[in-house]
Amino acid sequence: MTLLEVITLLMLSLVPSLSALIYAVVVRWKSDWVFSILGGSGWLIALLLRVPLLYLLLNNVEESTYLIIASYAAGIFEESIRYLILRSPVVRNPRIGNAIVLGLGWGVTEALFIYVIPILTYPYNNHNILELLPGAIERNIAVVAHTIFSVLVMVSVSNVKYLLVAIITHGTLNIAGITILKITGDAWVTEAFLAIIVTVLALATAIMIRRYRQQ
Amino acid sequence: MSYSRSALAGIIAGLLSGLVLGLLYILFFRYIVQEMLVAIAEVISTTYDVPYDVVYEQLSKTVSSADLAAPLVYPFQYALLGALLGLLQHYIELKLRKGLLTSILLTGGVFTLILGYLPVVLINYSGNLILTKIIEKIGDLIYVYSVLPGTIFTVFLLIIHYVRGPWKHLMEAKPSIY
Repeated sequence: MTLLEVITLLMLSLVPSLSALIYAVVVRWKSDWVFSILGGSGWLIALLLRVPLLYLLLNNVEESTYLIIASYAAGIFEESIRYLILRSPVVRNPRIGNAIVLGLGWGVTEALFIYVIPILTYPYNNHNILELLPGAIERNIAVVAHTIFSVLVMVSVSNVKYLLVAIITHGTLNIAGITILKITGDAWVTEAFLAIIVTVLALATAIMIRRYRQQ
Repeated sequence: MSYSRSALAGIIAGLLSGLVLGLLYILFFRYIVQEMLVAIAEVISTTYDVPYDVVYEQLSKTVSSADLAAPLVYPFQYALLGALLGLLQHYIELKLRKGLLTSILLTGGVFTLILGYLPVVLINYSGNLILTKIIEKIGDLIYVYSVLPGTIFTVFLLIIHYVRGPWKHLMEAKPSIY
């Protein structure tokens, strides 16, 4: 890959979500910027907490069982930590804007650690841009998904059933991605399906926010 | 102090810890990693039936890139961790009604135990061939390394809260918050 191709991939994976984050913090909600860092922190701690447990399972269960457990473990750990941040008594009365900034920070950090840093450090000389492009698109879909989950978890502060909805939706979305990729073998088809699912989830969340505000 | 100031204290402590750990990596740990490359390449080569030279070359390239990235990635990673740990310290101090010193030490203890020591113990029991090789190579020193980040972070959090330095003006609330 040429340097221009690497820069293109990095910009495609980061610029949309970073722009949304800056817009959310500075213009739209004037939210506390600390929430974006707390989002990144939450993602990293959720990862560090579950990886050793997943290592224990790696050699002891079948691959399909492992993938199901890993998918739902991501949902359980990430949504629980998101809940603890937003429910924490030291963070008084979190607003929708704070939850959105938390979700954007969560997604941007994930993109940095699992896409940007590997692209910059791993020698991808034998790959072309089209092979790595679906990953860049997936990062944007993931940022939208994390924002949705953050809003769901914020609503769960007053109604805890939404936390369960967020955990199940998160785990199921992960499994959907793996299953579609295994069936089709095509990363582009997988990303298209994920984009459709996340768009439907975003619309449902927007309707839920409207109802939540009317209460 | 508001929750965002506590998170900021954690971020600064994390950033400084990351700088020290990045420096330690460049000065000491990367030589240990390079020494382990041969053993790890052997395990991967035999496990996945890939020529040893190919594995070793790929691993060497990845490690040299990681060497370059370490001074930036370490401070970033620990600053992120510091944010939530700063919030935890605030929670312990405010809601569990502990003194500043106790809350900092408890926060450092949680970091050291849950994110440092326990993962190494669990990975040790996982039976993963590559990880077992790494642990064999480092020996019992792995437990010392595992508690190092938490200890350094605690020291910096203590310094930030107890020593007047350039970070103090960042920690003070803006007049509008009074």
